[in-house]
Amino acid sequence: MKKIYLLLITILGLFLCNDQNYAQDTTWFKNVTNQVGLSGVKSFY
Amino acid sequence: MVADVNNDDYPDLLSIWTGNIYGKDNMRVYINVQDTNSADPLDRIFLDITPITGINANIIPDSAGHRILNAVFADVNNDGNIDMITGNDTYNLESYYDNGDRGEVLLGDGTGAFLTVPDNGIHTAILNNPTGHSMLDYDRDGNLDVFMGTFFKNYNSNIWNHGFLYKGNGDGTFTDVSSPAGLTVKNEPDYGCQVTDWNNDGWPDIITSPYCRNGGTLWKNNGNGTFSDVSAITGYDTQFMQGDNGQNLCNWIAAPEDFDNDGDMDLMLALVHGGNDANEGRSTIVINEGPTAGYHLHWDLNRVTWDAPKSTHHGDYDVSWFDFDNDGLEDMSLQQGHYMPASDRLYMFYQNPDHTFSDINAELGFIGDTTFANTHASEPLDYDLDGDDDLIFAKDGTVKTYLLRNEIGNQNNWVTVKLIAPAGCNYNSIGARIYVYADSLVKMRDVYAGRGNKCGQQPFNLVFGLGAHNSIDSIVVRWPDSLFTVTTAVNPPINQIVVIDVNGYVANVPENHSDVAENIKLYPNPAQDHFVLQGINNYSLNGVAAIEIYDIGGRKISNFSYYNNNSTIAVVNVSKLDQGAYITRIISKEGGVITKQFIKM
Repeated sequence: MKKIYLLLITILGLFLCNDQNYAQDTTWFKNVTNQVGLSGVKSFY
Repeated sequence: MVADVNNDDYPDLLSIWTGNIYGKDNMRVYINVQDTNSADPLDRIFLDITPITGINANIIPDSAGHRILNAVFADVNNDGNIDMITGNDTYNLESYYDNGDRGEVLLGDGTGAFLTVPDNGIHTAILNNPTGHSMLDYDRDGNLDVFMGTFFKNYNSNIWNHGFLYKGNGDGTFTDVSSPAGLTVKNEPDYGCQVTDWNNDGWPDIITSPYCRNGGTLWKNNGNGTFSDVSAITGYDTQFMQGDNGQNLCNWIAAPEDFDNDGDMDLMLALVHGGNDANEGRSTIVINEGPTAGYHLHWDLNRVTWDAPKSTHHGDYDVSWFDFDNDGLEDMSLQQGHYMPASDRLYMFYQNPDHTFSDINAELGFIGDTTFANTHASEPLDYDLDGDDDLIFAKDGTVKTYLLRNEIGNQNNWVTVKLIAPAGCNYNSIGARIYVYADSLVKMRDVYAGRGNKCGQQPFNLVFGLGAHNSIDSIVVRWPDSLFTVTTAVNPPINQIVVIDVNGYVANVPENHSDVAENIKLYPNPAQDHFVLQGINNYSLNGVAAIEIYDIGGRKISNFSYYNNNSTIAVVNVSKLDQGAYITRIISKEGGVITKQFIKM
């Protein structure tokens, strides 16, 4: 039972320490189009 | 496209589209200025100054409007101001109605205004049908040259043309050297082109992006004014694998970047008409295998993971490298659109420590948001100079423009490098290779102008992510001059825009730098009825003897007035000035002169 508990703790630790932490943050980019005066600006290239 | 047209280090926006891409007056110029409603220099707005820029002036007398479908920006006459080379293209050159409105060279004056150079040598280039321009100094003589990839002479009959190399004469004129350079031996229909030093020999090489019919070309610069086609021996072949139903692959851009930090330039190819299924060609990483393998290129179809929703027929138009989180590993953004608008979308690919790439759109909340659906082109830019690259992108269909501000990049350490070119080097240091050494991290990036279809362009001041490294051992610059000069800047600061010249680290660029350096700030710029001169750093305007205004032709303007409301503020009335670019000279009682440029709207 103790080994199973340690295994679960290890798995949880590995999950929390995953360096791909982008999954925990959805605010990396903010749409500031209106704020900078580019709303409605047409562009193709 | 993004370029600093008014020399304030803040990247400005140059967009192509005003309603009909096949009509005239296609281009607009938006300069990046501080929001006058905010005291924070990070709060920026983009102002449309197109009417006073002259970019849509037709070189033919009495002809209205100008047609620009692609453009590249760099200082071609080494006067310190960004210039531009424009181009037109058509799907079938032999049926093109040539009324004389063609690609041109326009010299900038440092305010955002441009003037067309007569007899510039590029005027005839429309007859070559250029789809992309890339700047380079192929002979390292200090004057910028330009390569043009060309589209079909006759689309229906499948008749192609060769690429063209124009040698810069240093005064805004160019001479066609395609034949002596050895570039006329091979015809192909190109949709774009790019330049990088693929084999680390110091000479800029040319990489073409073909439109489906062949595999494109890697032109090796031999260092003697000629180029050799090394596509076969290096494995550069965009038709390496076919796409859906065996169709040919069309390449819009082969974006160079040393993404794996191993000291040689790799590529990311954005392929229109690729496939998604196993063993089909698709937009992919191409690994440069380095000096021990003769810089052979390896197509690695499994580096990038594409999550659902994804299109079954790609319309991948553009790709841009930038380090989202400044962890020292370049990430990338890819734009997809047009062919399957319901599923085509913008992709954000995050580079993992093992140099694979994960699609993180779901984590970013982009999936299901129509803002990120059906996109076309993008450029990274640090528009607020806060130390991380933001992203501007254009939509297919609605052709609207969006700007995403990076909210987390500068939480890691970073350095932005601004180069001051030595004598004998082109002013913008196009072709310079910058190495940043920080403990175990070694990053390498190129200063460039013009990549892919329609000449994608990013700021010349490059951001380097440092991750958790809290110091820089050195920054090494390999200058593109005739002497192969190398500069080592030892222990420059981090989290700054550092200026490096031929002798090494010079200074930081502080916020609001252009005004702080001269102790007088001019705002708003552009000005409507007035502008304000503000003394800063305890600079007193009581010492000013006169404020003069000149037009860009050097003629003194007399119809203005100003008043001081205290020792640090002077308000100058410019309401009677016509729209345009002007220069103001602030003359002190001791005879000192401070010159500032401004735009009257």
